[in-house]
Amino acid sequence: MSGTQTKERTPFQKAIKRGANGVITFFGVPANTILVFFGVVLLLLNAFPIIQLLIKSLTGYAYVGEGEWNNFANFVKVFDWTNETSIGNFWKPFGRSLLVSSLACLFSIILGGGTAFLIARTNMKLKKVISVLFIFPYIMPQWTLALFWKNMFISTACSAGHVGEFQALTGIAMPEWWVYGAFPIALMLGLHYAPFAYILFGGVLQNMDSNLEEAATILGIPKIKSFFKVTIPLLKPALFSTILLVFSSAMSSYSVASELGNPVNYFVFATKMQSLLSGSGGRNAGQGYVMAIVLILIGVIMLVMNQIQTGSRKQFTTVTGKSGQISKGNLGSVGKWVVGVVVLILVLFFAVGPMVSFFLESLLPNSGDFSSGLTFKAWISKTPISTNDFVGFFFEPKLRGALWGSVKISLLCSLCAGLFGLLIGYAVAKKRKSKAAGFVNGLAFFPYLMPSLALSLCFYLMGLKLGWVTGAAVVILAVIVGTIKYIPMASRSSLNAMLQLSNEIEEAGVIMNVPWWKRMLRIVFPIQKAAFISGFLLPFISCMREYDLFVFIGNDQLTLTKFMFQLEADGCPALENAANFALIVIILVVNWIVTLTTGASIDKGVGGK
Amino acid sequence: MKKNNLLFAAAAVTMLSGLTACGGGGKFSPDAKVTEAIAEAQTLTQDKLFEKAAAELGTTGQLKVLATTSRGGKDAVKNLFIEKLQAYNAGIKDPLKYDTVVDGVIYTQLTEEINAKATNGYDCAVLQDGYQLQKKGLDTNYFVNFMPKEWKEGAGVNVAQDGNPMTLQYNFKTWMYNTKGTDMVIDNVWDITHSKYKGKIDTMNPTNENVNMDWLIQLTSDDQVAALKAAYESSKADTDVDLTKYESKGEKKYAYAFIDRFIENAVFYDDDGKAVAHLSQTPGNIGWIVYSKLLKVEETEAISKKDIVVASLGSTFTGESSLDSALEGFGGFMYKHYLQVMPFTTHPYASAAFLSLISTNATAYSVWAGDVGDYPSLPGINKDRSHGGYVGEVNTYPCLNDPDSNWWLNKAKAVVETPSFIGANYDSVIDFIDAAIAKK
Repeated sequence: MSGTQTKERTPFQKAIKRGANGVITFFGVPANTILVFFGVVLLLLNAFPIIQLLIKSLTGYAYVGEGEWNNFANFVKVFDWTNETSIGNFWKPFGRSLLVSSLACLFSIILGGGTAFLIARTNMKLKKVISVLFIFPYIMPQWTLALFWKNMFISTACSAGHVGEFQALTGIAMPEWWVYGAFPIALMLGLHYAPFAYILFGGVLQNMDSNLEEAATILGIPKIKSFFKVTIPLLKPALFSTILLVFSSAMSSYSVASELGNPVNYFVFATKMQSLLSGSGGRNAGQGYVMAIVLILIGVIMLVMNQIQTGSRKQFTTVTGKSGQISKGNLGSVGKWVVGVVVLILVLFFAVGPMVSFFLESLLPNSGDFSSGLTFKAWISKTPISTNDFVGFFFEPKLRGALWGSVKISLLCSLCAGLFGLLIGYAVAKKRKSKAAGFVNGLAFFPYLMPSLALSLCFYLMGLKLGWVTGAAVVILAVIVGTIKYIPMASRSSLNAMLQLSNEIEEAGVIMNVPWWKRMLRIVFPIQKAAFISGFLLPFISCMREYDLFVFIGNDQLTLTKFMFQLEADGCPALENAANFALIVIILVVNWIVTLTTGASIDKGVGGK
Repeated sequence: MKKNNLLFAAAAVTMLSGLTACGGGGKFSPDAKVTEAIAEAQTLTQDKLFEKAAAELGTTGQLKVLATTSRGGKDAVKNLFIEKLQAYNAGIKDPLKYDTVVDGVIYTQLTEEINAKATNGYDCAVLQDGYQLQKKGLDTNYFVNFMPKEWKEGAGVNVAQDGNPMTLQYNFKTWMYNTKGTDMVIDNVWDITHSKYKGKIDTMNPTNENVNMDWLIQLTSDDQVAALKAAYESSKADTDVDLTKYESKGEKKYAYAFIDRFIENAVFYDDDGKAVAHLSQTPGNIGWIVYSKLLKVEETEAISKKDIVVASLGSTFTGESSLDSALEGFGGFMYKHYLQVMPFTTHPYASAAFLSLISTNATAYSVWAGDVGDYPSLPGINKDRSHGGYVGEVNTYPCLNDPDSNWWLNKAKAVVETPSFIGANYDSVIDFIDAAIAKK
């Protein structure tokens, strides 16, 4: 004791101290800090485009600047079901999109979930190659799958048709519904998003403790009943996440419907919305923004349903740290080969077929015209092969610049989105019963629901106000918008992984006084490495093939996809196909490098060993 | 409750700031320095302009051009631009940044930069779409017009028609069809409205690029209505168009009927390139496509430009300007590429130098001059392409014997884009077109 008497604190000081202690304690929990930080940041970044969107939907058309409040005239024009234009612009495409998106969900779950099940839970052969190839359709831009399908099956039986590859080979003219319209659009979207289901289902199936299923077996429950009563409920989080991701994406998907719908006037929601947003000099953009809001609302409904599921008690921890057994179904000594070969043929057709098609197309003088043999001009010519003086792929400096732009922006986006998504997923899982977690989870997913074109315009306007229109500032703007758009992928992936991870695993570290960052690096991350790394890879892949998101940002050499638009406008399909082929190869190489350096990859996340 | 109020207040403040930032009352005026510089630039020779541009850009400055055509960014133009600047400053290395976007985006981008008073945005633009130019650039006083001295004094230039807004060139969209293995003939423009051609007309989506909408609007002008009426009268026996459906439109029923049936029969593509690719592979189809896109069709065993007939030229056109059009009605649509300077540019002289170069210099214009269907407003820098379809002495590809713009205007009665007409009539026609497209 020093002899001086301790000064008595006033009630106010005590309250301040209690409050300060409370704050320190609150922020001492990493999950709380993460939720507060991202809650604020994401709120601001979401609010800006949403407010812009609302303003534009509520105001009339102005040739320049903002229009004036127009008494919901845009809404009336869109929803008036007595008006033929409204029916054609909104109601008919809306109904078609609901159909196509539902079918796409079904296809992706059957194809992706089915393949994940065969790989993770059976002794099927050829798993490794199937697992690697299965992600190809997701890596490829959507429209390339559509183009492959069209080139393959277009026939003289179609109203806007000619002899396609299949008809040339077999003489069979496929009917129009097979080539154009709801079925092929849904199938292509289902195929494109099947890797979502594959990754999400596979992650759960791979890590699922088979004790639960074995308990059912011991109790004498038939296999099929056990599958529906035990396995399927365990897969519910993955099922809902898949539906949420695929349905929302399919609703807003433009390029597949444009390729396989427009030629027979089968317009869906996204193709109509896009044409209202960017067509007619922006005169109908107000209606386009109303449709964008409808799209967001649909996404919100899906999100709330998913939220209810995630927050409910019907949530299962599948990685407990107690058992790592996985029971595998026996397909029989012949069956395991037969099933493996059949799946491989199907996967090869959809995964490698388009790549072969692009490569061949890059060797053709006219798109789809094999009559005069092949030429490597689009790859190796040092002299101009287009009216714009573009030379072959390997020697075109503008193409190289755009390619480097794509890689640079995609890497930065994936690093930011992957890291932020991982942290958000972690914090939301840790605090999943809290309102704050639900709020941040919702905010993190929200940009996924916003049409890319609208997001691009909103952030372009923000960039203008900040003076970010040239040089490195444009790249920063692109990275910000890309990060926001792709955080949902990383956070969903991370959240799914975290939800499977029992709290007791990390608690062991807490008891040992291991700091949070060390627990993350040494315990949490290694266990769910595959899922977390897919949270980095998915944004990279998506960003590499992104176009709409960057329409208003930067010049035509900002990314390779923007440059490909110039090639298309220039009528240089061979060079465009060469660029497309290269894009896919680069993504595959990155995937391969990640595999080599980290031992993990998207496909390994589902056990493709 | 309080939280909700705060959020609402924040949102309202942001909305308000957004509105005031963009709306702004009062008539817009470009930066006085820019208008003064451009006024002076119009009196200067091209050499003098380059001298001033070199001083303005310095060794590190860069002129930023936004365009709907990528040609202006080709090496032939870029290298000449650099060479002429280097005559005054050898240190200049990379003075030009030339970016391309579609007409659905270009006006948004430029006007938003102007709204933001951005001085580091684009300096000048090569534009298309008379409607948006009129409404967004001219009526608002946003864009600054520049008429090069050499152009104004050039032979054959129509200053009144092409000087303000300054026209670089006319681009041409025309009717063509694939006759491979067929005996089809399209000799009247109403032929394409026949129900037998439903789903057989390859063209670009009018909502994708607004010049395609401008053409439809322009069809409702009195001149075009009269031309359509005359063509209709002579095709009565062959057409299955029921004009009574359009009686409410009065004399303009011919235009509305044509528009409606054209949209009904058409297959829309995102790009003319895709439309011509499909046309070239599909015998019996008709295209309403930019003429120069024909050059993208490579000769192979299965596909040949020999099978493509440009309707106005017919299947045996020899390139002589005395020949008549083989198509009754209008033979195509001439839309323009306009040149404009941005009101807050920090490089007005460099902008003027660049625009002067591409509109008056034959070497620079050569990036367009080789193409069928491109006609400069300064005739002297064009190339004669009337025998472009000849291989040696043989008329191999009649569709490539491109006569001059006078032939298209006078003999083939091409529709010409008039921004003032389109700007004034767009709103009264567009609902009809939107409904026709929505019905598809």
